[in-house]
Amino acid sequence: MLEINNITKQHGNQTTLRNVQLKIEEGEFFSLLGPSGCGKTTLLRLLAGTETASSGEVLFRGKRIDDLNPQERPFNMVFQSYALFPHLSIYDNIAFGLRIKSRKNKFSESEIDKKVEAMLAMVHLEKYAERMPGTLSGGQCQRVALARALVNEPKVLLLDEPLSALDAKMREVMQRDLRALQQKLGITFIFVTHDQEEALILSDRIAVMNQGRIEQVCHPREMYESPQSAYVARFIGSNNEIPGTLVEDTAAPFVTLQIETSGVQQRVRGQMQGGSLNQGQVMAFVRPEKIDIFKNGAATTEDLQWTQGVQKNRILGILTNLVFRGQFNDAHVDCGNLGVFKVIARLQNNLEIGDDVELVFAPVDTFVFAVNEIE
Amino acid sequence: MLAVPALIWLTAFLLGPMLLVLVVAFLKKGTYGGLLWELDFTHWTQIFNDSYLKIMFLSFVQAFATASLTVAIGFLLAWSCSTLSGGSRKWAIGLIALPSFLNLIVRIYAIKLFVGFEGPLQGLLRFLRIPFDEFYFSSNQSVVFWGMFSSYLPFAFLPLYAAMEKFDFSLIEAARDLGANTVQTVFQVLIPNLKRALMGAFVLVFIPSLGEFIIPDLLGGAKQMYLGNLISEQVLRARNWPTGAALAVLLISAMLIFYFLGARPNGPSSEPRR
Repeated sequence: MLEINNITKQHGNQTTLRNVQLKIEEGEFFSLLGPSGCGKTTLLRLLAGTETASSGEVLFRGKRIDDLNPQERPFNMVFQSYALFPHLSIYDNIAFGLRIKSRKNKFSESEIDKKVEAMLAMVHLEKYAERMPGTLSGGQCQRVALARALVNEPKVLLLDEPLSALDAKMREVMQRDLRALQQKLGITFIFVTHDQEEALILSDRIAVMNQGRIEQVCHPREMYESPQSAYVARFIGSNNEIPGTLVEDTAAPFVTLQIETSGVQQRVRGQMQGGSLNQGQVMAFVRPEKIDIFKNGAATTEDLQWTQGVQKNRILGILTNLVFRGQFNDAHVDCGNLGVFKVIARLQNNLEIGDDVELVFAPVDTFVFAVNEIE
Repeated sequence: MLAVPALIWLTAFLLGPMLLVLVVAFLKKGTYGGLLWELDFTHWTQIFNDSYLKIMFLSFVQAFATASLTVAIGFLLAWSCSTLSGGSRKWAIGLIALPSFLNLIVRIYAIKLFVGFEGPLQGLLRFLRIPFDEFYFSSNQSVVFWGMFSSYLPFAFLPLYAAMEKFDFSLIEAARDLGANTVQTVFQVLIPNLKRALMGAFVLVFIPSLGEFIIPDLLGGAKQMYLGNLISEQVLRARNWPTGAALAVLLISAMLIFYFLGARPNGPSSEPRR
């Protein structure tokens, strides 16, 4: 429905967007995720029309919209700072867009009243209609900003880090409300955030951005379980990183890398991500919750076998820290020159700090990236 | 306790002289100038004659026009300055404020020379062979107005710029996003949120320009008198202190009225709360 074709944006000699290519579907909750300065807000502002691209085009339902003024696009925006008009009451803030348009679309005052009341009810702020924005809390301001945008019945709602100014508890409530609202209204939401957890919770699909480029676009689960670049793997969730060299082996579909642990050569198998490579320096990533931890020698053959004929990866270390969290525990394991591994696991056989332990993880959970791709 | 020095200062140098003027306004003029310590109201009726009322009216119009134009232009300048980037912004503000670093007399004479017989303006008109009256510029109302405008522009610009710098420009983006065009954005979002600064800037220019007498004197010649000129004339030339003081009391009262009307707009606080 919304197509972003080959958009590049330059500010002087700085490139904030590089050949961005995206397709956003009707009714989707789509997140643009990345650290500050990655170009996600620029891309959103470009869709809103408050910023123009240096090259490329934006199509909405097949028609070019990148040359339209913001007021001519069927999009509305929710700003990070809310940007509520401080001189207008909550009611007048929400009615602003309708009153501006009333000359063209001929909304009568009673129609405006009906729509505004409906919006106030939707965001549970009926009692606040006559209040001024300065007297409201952050969460309430956020709801007003949402209502002010949605009352115009936009085809796409653009949200620029709308929850970043809220405290943790309020943010959680707003996340839930936002998702419910989007599902109820069926409007396409394009949501900019730097918070990966927020993006994972809310989105139908996520685009991870890095230095003006789109790194990967997919469903949250796929983003977590099959990152296509080291950047995405590092940005989403946490990882243990193992440097190594690719060696020839017949373990398809897996690749084998040679690693060095405390002077001993060892092999680890994993899945090559984002392109194929037969040799050279690589980095393997394993998520903390994908690792099982055993007292050295305590793992059974069954524990060590992934499928018929394929062994799991094994690394030795010393348990240096253990944080009890109930069902699962955080363990830190010193693996010599590989550094300290973080492990989230159900602990077996009463491990104690200082024990020699064995870390076991499946090749399917080991993502391998070429080193030149990492930096 | 900390306010005591300031209070002493205000009493000695502001309240004292003001009271003195008020007292003088009700005394009798001496035959050869000076004052007689007798209560006298006759000059109070004399000052409301037709020619004086006309002067007061014209002063009011002049001050109103000066304040309106400086606020309007100052507003546009402040807006464009606040959208400039750091370096060029500093330059722009410097250039706008620069004239006020110069002595007023020097500035006014510069305008006089600029439009005078041998000045560049007449030279240009001659060069372009546009016929004009050489005496037109020497003492002319529009030149007075120009002098007033250029002298008071920084007074309007600076408070407006200060307010504009604090202004949350995402409000403008929000208005555009909600469908407002530029005119609607300016009148429905920008101006209502800067109401206080606009009123302040207007009062800041209006009050001193109501009593201005140097600029009309130097640029306007004897063609038109304003309230300020009238007072200085009465006090310095005619040596009629009570009449001058009465006019001054009138002027100060008018200023006070405008100050309280202008500086305290009704309604809820228009300052954006962040």
